[in-house]
Amino acid sequence: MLPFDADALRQHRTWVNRMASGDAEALTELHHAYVSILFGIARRILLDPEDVREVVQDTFVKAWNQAAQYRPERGEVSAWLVFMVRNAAIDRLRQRTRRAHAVAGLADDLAGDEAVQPAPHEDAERRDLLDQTLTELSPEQRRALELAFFNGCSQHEIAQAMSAPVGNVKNYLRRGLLKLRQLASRHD
Amino acid sequence: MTDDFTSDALRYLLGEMDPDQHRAFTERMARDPVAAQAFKDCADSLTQFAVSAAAPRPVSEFEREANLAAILARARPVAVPVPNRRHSWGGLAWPIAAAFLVALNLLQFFSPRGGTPAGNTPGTSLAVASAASARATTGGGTPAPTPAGSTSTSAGTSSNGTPVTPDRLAAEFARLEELRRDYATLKQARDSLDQQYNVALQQLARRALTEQGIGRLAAMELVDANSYARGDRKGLMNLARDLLTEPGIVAVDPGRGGPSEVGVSETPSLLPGVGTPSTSPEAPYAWSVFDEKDNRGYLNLYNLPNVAPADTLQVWVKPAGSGDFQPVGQVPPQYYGKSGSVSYELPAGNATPSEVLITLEPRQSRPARPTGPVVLRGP
Repeated sequence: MLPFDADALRQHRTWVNRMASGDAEALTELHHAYVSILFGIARRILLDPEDVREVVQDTFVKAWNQAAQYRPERGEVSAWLVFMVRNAAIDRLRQRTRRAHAVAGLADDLAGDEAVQPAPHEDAERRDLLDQTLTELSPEQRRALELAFFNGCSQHEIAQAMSAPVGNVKNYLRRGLLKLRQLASRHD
Repeated sequence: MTDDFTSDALRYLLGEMDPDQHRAFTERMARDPVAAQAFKDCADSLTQFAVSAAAPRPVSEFEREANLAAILARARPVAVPVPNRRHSWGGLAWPIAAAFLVALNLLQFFSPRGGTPAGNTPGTSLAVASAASARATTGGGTPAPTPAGSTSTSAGTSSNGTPVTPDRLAAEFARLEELRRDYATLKQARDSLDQQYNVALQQLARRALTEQGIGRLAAMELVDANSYARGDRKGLMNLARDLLTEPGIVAVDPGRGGPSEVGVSETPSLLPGVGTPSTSPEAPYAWSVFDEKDNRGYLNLYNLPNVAPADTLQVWVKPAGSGDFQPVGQVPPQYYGKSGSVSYELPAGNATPSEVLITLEPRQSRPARPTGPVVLRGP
């Protein structure tokens, strides 16, 4: 279950196809649909608002330039964009050599998680289902996934941060991902 | 899907594979549709997790448009559709709005400032301080952010539904940046003029005191009731700091003649200055100078509140050594909600005011003592 329904996801694929043929209107539409989500992802990873802004811009520019390489069989457009902005933000984070700081401050970050606000395009029911995703994960699974996704930590770094063996961390990640897949198939 | 595949998919998605592993995994997905589907499930599931864990950040319409303009500008040169000329002006709506706001600021910047007090004496030149009301600003020329919920769902169009093209957006963005720079330059110039104004005011005061020889001037600062209670002051007395010989008393050579005629009123009253009062949203404040030789006081009032027609702003003074406030007049209605200068005269024999008070009073009742809420009080 993604933040968009099937019709919206189909529409997004159409936009990317149009972008590949040079249709700037499609890029505009994609931007409107995703800018809040991508800002949210980037802000979760980066501290500097200017970095966040640049990373989001870079992501849309990259999406424009690589629209022809998008493969729908490897993920929805939302996944394509979310991983693009995540990877760009992690790269920026590593450039800033702040990863150690981010890991050290993770406990505070998790304790002070902001209330998730619905993006303009999301209906409340869909947001509730998304929120439910987090509650279905065990605390260890959630923390391991967050360290991997938002902090760019390797499995060894996650093990260090969680004071757990690497084998356990691999298990948290695997089981967490499987749980997410089960939830997705239940709601789709 | 095996546990190993899930782990590999995760490492692939998070960029943890080395180039060889990455290539091998890509090739596997290309030849194995089942693996490709399993990978897609992993990608979409992790996306679901990420969107769930990271709050979407509300983006104002202004920020969104600026962000999009920057993206489209960088996305060139790619073939773009020919804009529909029938709707070409629609895309200019938001920069025009921004320019309009900047123009409003410029209008305020160049508009006449405050008024001059009645008469034309060196002493009254102090009352020209009403021009300082122009310090009140409107908060800049950038459009106010809109709530996230107002983000348009009509993707690909401007706020009024007209198609937006990269060229046009880039041009509009550049124009807006230029306007912002111009505004910053003008704001800097205004700040500089304010500084010059303060210097000129100080020089005028010095000339009035030392060359024209007004005598002893008692100066004080008035602030709103809350600031008064907290002891907060705006520091206006700094203007006369180097002229003070004792707290609140500006002393000059008394032997150089007196002031010119200032249009003394028959009864205690307030004479409004002339000129265009300026408008300001800030808290009210004032400063007052009293010419002991002529028993005449000057009040420069800033950011006065709006007053209902049935009420008035009554000015009171408490002469030194007296325990009671005396009414000396009412602030002219044209200054309600604005700034301006007034003067008053105390009957002969009264000592220099030790306190000045402005209260909100019923227009008809004319109370003998302050009864209404305090608007300004000093020192």
